[in-house]
Amino acid sequence: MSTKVTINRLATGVPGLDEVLGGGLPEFSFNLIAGPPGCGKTTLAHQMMFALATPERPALFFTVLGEPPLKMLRYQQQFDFFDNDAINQSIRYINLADDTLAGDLDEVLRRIVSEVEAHSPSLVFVDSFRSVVLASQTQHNPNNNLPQFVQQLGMLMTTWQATTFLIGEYFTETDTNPIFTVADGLIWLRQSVERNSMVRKMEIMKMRGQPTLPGLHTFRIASSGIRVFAPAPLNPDETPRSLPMQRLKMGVPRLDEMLGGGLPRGYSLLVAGPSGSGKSILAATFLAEGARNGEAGVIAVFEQRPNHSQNATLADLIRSGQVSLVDSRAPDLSIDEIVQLLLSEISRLNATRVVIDSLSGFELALAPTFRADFRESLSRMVTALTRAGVSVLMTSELEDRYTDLRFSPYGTAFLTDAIIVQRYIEVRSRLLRIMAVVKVRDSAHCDELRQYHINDDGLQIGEMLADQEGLLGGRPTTQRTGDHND
Amino acid sequence: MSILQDMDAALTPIIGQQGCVALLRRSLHLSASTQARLAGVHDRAQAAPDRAGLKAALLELSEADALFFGEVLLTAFYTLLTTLIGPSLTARLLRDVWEPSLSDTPSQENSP
Repeated sequence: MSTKVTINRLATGVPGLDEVLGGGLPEFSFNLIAGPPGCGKTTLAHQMMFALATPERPALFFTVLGEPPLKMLRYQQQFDFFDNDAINQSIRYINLADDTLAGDLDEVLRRIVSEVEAHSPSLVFVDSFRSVVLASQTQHNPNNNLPQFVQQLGMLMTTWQATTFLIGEYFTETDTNPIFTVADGLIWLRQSVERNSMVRKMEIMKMRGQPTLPGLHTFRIASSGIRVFAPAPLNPDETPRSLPMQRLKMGVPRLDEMLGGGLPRGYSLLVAGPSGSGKSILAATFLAEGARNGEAGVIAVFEQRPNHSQNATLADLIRSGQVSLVDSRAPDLSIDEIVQLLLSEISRLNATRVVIDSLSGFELALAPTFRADFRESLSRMVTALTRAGVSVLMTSELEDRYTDLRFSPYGTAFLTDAIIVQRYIEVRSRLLRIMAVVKVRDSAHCDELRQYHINDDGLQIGEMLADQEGLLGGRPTTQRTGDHND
Repeated sequence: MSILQDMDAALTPIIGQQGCVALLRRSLHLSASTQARLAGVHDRAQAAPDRAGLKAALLELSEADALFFGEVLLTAFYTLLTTLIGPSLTARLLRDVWEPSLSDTPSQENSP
């Protein structure tokens, strides 16, 4: 039997935060929530407080200098988590402004301790702790006893079995501040502004005793409170692909045959082609075919106008609930947020088919701060989705170039398991469309360039243009003319 | 006066001494602006805008005027707090203070 102490992890009540913290908040820990003004420190504190406080083990919220308590109550009650009935029951606000103004840290500590002894709280918040520090400094006290104060506060709170949060405006994490050393946990909130978009990010700089998720995690503040978008967990035990390979029907006659019998289940497929080549129609047909076989689907649309109003088939599927539409237009959209939206819709509908239409629109929809990492993020998204067991069809706008053979403008073709490419060609003064299956991983597939056209029933794939050559150059010539087309 | 004292006691721990004084000043101002006959009390109380100053000002009034003034002031105080933090939280914070004074209403509600 293990005699080691077990540290309980508290569920913070903030969606996504427990994952980022590495399993929740360690009980009796002494933490600092830091960041510039307006980054959501007080809101984060309140959301955790309302989730965790009980009448038996209440929360004490010490307000010091800074945001006047009346205003804090006025604004915080706008959030859904704010429960008026909890006030003076499981949550007590205590104002220490007068004690702090006197600048005597010993007196502040004495007040805190006496309140803690009186109420035996499970949670203690001090907002804003920075003002305690500043008030003590204005005394020009040469023996500034701040390190001692922080150390004593930390020790006392842990002894009284209280999980403690100090909230403070700090701008740089490189400050040599005694509180950074004493604290068990450091939660930094940041606002990253680029052009017209502002993205909120959170970083767990330190959380003793547990593996936090490193890096910056985006979060959003809505009327429901804070929601953190933790990266999708990558399941290390990827379920091995079952053999023989199961294949999904695409819904386009003859396309399955070109793919070697259909799209292998759990594959990601990139459909690349120029504007108007029928990528969105192919995507809608893919979902419709799924719905016909009882498979639910999810589509993420990133065009200027959601094209569900333009494609009747898709609109019907969305209306009937067989396909869920993810249509986020938030200016601060992050990949992690969209992955979470997709994954939650996938699990809600038990969906097996996912469409992202299109990657080009998706890149534009992301907040500017994420665009530099677009390829990495895309790779994470494809991995997260295919590991969830769904088959993903992504469309990609492709500028028609006849001097090189490209499949995506991002060099992302290698990320996907299968690629279909569509091109325009000129034959006898007509614009014709051709398509080919470029790649299906671990599977034989057709290598023919097939002509196709689009009618009311969708894509209709025809035959090869056997008497033409140089199709990929855009201006094919009849075979055996000897006239080489560059 | 005792109600005011209780309200003060209920609120001071939360919003601080200065917060309470500020609320009281505003309530006084609002009361005086709606009831012209209270303007004199207002002026006197503003000189020392805390409970002691208010008490001194009230002692100079007749009993009827003092009762009337107290009621107007308390209502103004309560309404002011309501506009700031909402009716439900105001009721919550002042529950112990306010409810006994409104005991008529609850007892009627409780009757079958």
